[in-house]
Amino acid sequence: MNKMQTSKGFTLVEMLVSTAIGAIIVAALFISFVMFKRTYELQREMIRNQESGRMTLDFMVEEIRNAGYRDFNKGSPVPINQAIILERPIPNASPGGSLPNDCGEQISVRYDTVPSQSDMSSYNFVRRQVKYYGEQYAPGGQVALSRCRLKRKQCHYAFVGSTSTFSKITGDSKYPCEEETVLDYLYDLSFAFSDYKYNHVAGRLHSLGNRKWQQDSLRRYAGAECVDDFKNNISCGIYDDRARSIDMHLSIVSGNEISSVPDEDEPDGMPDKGRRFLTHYNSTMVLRNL
Amino acid sequence: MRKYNTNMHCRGVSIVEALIAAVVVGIGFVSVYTMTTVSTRMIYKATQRDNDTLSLSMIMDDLAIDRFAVADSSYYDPVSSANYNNLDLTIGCDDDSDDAPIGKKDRQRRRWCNRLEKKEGGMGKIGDPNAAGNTDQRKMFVRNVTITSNGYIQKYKVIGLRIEHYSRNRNQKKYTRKILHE
Repeated sequence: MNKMQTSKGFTLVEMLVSTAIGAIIVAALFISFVMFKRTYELQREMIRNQESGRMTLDFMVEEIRNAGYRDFNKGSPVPINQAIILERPIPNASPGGSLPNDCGEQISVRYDTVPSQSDMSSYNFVRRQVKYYGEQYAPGGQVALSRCRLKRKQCHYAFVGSTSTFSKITGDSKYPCEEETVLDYLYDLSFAFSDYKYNHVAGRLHSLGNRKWQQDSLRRYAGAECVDDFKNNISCGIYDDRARSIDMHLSIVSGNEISSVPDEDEPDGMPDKGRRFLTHYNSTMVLRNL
Repeated sequence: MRKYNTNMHCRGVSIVEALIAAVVVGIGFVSVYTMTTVSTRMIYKATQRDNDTLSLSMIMDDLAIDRFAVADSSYYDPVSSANYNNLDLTIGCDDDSDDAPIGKKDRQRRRWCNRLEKKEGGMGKIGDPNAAGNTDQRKMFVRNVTITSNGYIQKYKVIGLRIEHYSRNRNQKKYTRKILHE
């Protein structure tokens, strides 16, 4: 055997060529890693938005549809005054990034729940008030992470026949007064109340398009006193027209910045979302109890 | 003892072989890239289809409650095949007058058209109708169906909605149907 021939090693050219090919492969792997990472981030945020948006939408639609339901336990059912109420959005301090100008309109709905068999002697019926509203939230007090989150607050009221008023039920775990977070990274929550002719009743959306009704006065927001009037069994009468349907718009902003999402300039007056994207949902609720 | 040809076994890989191997690996990479792009697009499409479903259910919900609407003869248009069949939901968005004395059908069409056209959460504007291959459709169909069973005549309305997207790289069709009893 010719030992010199079998152990002569690589030539310089072979080494250079193999190094070049190796470098190309490593570069391709690196680019692949970066691309896969971006794709993973994008898909993760898209799916998170979709999951949480759809769940929130279903949850809210199911509850808002109940507005105005009256329970017939015994005696005459007490009318529900102002079964749906819309309140003004609260402006946010220092909007930008994932924090919009405001956290959306606030909606309150009222409907009766059927007391359990054992409670029927205590309560003729139990009226539930639920409010959905967005609030500015800085986790751990870190302003840089400020965003909106959607809250749901519910309280239960019993009717006092002697005074024809409602009193809040306290100390009964079956009828709690409690608050919970429904959704993080809320970006917009808007409503449109309309009558059977689709005439606008309230809200900053519009059922016949969104060209008119941009003036604040035409959005017809209720004051805090209107929300409390029902306790005295009176109506504040803000919406004389009977609302037939509610349109809802829900937007969610992605929790993290995505490097593959372009940092586009927002129109004047709109906060910059940076490299985040929005997922939008629209829904309509026809109110059958009003 | 078998004699090896040592030169043959130790000569390594030629440049051509290495390049061919690199090309084959490259093709593999391209395939995987394509898969990630496709999966992202599929998630996007799923979101869009979800929005389409919500938009269509809104229309059906509107129709379902109409049968209980206030009897307002100046406004009321029955959901008949004469009124609603072939209703094109891509036209009628632009009437900006809320006070125009138009009937229920036209008001509904304006509402639905605007709702479907909305970019945020809707389907967006349809593409250029003159563009080649553009057959986007947003149409409603109403069929009157009469069935006689055990001597009883039952009348139904079958309401269908057909949504087809071709113009915005979505290529999706969606049909939904609802039966209303009379």
